[in-house]
Amino acid sequence: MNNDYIDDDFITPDDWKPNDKMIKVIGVGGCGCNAVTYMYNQQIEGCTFIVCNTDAQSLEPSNVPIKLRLGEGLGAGTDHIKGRNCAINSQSEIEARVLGSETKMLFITAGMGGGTGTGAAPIIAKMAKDKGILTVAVVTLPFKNERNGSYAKAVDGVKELQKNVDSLIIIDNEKLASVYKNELLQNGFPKSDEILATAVRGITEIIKISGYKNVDFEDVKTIMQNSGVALMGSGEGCGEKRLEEAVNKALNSPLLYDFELKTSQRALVNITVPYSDQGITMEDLTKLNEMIGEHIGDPSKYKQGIVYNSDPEWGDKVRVTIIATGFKMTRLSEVIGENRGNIIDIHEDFVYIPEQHIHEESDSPYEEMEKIGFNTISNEKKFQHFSEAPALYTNNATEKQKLESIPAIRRRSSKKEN
Amino acid sequence: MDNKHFVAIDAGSSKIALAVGYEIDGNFSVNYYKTIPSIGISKGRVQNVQHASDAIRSLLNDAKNELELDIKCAVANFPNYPIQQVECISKIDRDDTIVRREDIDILIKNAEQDAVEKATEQGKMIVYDCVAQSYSDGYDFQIAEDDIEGRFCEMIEGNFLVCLGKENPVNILDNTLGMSDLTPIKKYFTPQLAGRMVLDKSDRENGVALVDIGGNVTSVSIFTGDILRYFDSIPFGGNNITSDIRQECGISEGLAENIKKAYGICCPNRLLNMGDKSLRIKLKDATRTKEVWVKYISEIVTARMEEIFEAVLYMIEKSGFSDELRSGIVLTGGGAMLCNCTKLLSEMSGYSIRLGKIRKRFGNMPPECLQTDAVNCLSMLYAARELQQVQFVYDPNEPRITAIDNESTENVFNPKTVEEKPRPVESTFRPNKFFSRENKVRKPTEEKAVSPQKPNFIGKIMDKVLDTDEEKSEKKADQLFNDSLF
Repeated sequence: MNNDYIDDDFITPDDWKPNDKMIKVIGVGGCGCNAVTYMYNQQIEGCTFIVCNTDAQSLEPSNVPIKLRLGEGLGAGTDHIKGRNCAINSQSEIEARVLGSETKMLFITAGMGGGTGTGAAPIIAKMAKDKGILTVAVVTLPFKNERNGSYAKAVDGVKELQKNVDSLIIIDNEKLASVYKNELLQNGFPKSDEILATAVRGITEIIKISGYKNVDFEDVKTIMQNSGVALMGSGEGCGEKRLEEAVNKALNSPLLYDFELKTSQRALVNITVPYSDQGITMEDLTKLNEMIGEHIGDPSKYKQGIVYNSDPEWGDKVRVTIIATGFKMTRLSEVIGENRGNIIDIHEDFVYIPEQHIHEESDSPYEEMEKIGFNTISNEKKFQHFSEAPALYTNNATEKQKLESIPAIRRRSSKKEN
Repeated sequence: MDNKHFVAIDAGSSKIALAVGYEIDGNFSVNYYKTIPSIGISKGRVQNVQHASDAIRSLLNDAKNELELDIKCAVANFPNYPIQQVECISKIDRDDTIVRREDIDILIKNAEQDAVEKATEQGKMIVYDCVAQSYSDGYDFQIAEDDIEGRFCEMIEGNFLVCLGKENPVNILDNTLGMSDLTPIKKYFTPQLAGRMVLDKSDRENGVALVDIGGNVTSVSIFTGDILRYFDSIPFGGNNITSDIRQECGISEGLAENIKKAYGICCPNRLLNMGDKSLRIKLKDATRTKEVWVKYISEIVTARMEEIFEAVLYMIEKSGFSDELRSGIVLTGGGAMLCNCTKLLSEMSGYSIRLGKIRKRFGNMPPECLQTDAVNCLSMLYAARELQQVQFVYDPNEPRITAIDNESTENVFNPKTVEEKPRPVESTFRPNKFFSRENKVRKPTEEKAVSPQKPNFIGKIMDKVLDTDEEKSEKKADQLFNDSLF
């Protein structure tokens, strides 16, 4: 059987193991590449890692074997429009190397607020989703007090991304900073990478590792497809109170917001326990389910998996991973602080500078191809014959004066009222 | 002698643009292009000569300092409003000989004279441009200008589109430029030039409307068969959008202009992320902060643009060519830089719309030259190449050639050998006495008329031809003078 060929309708045998190409993890931009490099070095198994960036120079230090350069390789200069255009330019390469037919799930990791991650990640997400690939974005938000309008740009990027992904997991640097406030910088910043890794590892392991109560790809797809904002928590516990510890840590994870978990529509809980005499008992499992049930509530779609870990080094650890989805995207505002990104301060001496004021509504730099054929109807005059001259076509001086002094929007609204 | 620099100035209602180009070995580059906000100019005509000349002078001085050139002359533009277009047919019977350029010139002169007589606008009208639509030799019709010359025929008839404009704004512009120490060598009516610079030949042949959305004037020029067929304009443009924003938001004109450029987006229904954004305007002296949704700014902009585009489509329909625009509409001017304006016009008209920018005819040019609002100035600059004999600038490092003797090349290539002769006292610049072929229609019987008082730049041409023989000098002066004007 050709392992590269996977048909959705194919009934998989019990011992079928999905290959590594099925799940791809792509880091977009500097932040995303750092995270993926971290995950690669953590030797997370069961997926293929790819780094991509507009800055070719920054790709070199990464030991991730698959590297994708977007655009000319000169960077985006914190300009998300440039990042976006580079991704558009590199669509064929992205499709060939990332979105092949074997890809069933794509994690996109990126830091929002800069150029490449903010601009290119939504483009890649859209390409993947359009191909029916389960697309999960795991992104970070910058600190609110970061200059250069990073937070506002990040908000824009998240809004663009949420339209093009199945599930969106957001890691807020502010929240991270409050949890790890006493950590040294060199230890604190990688926490973000660690959490990204945990998110990806959590879901990947759920799919890749067969468990006694197995959760497979289709289960994950059911929970995460078109599910909106997702919350994820993962916690480990060992010792006597390992169950409580694992559940508490999972529920108090920095990845979780103050959303009421009971309001989630779908939930996936995976429990990893030792496959030894240090494993958990049936009573322990019941207790675990009760503790989780208190917080999760009764979502319409719920799946629980149990995975055994027979590694002797695992010890007596119990790991609980919770993925709660189905929160409406309207709740995104609670996460990103809607107003922060939407107010643009203008001072009296504001001066327009073209390079600083590019927005996504700009006319596309790429001309559309004009297709010529018998039935093509481009460039076909469709305005009605003018029975009288329009307002601005007048030689009357008084009329001209009125047309200049009264804004067109006022004249239009008074015309409608009449 | 430095005759390789060319200078063009576009004095518009929204901005004043100055461009300096340099030609060497057939390679023409733009080595300077700068714009400043327009002061004292409205609807394409100078309203306040003092303010306008101050602004032009400051722009000119910046250019002189940066380029270290002594700029003396420039080509400038006729206003685009109000223009009256008159169709004239001119015919001459002649001996059955080859048609030469002089015959065509006579036809043109007759048509221009006829058009001025037919002008119905008040005030003295002059010819801004005369565009041949077709010629006939009595046997063939619809002959192009390139084909009629060299034909053998007894009669030639020309069908012309003559664009007339008022003389008064032109004289005021001359005064203004003179006060800014800049001599207007020639004035161009820009639609034809812009059509050549922005449009492909296939566009002009298949039918295209070139719409220039300026500060206070929006014009429509229609090309079919590679000829300008129709021109019309309205006295409304981008400045009206700024004024609407200013009134609705209660802010200054300058701030409204910057907000329009940064956040003025047509089609509010097409807003993406900007649709959720609002502008919080903090004025220094105001006690309150103003907040306006970007979507509302978009509605203000769109309302005015729709009115402008309705007038544009009306002008296109009035031309009679609305069904012949196979290449659609091309937008130029500052107003074309508004985001989504092409989409708006496309939705309103059904035509294919694109932005018009200078196609690469220049070797090098600053990136600002690729904007749609640079089209007119750069078109004039490129056209100014025909004025090879005119010295637009003087290079202070090179000795000034004070005599040109066509019989001896030594004087031309070895300027140091020329004895510098005392220059005559420069005449006072009197633009009302300024004579140019395009500003005054000559009667067919009139020989070359020479004004007794020549303005400054003539004095400089006189520098080149000083000779002890006054009669010879005078003839040489006339020769150079007429050559410089063509």
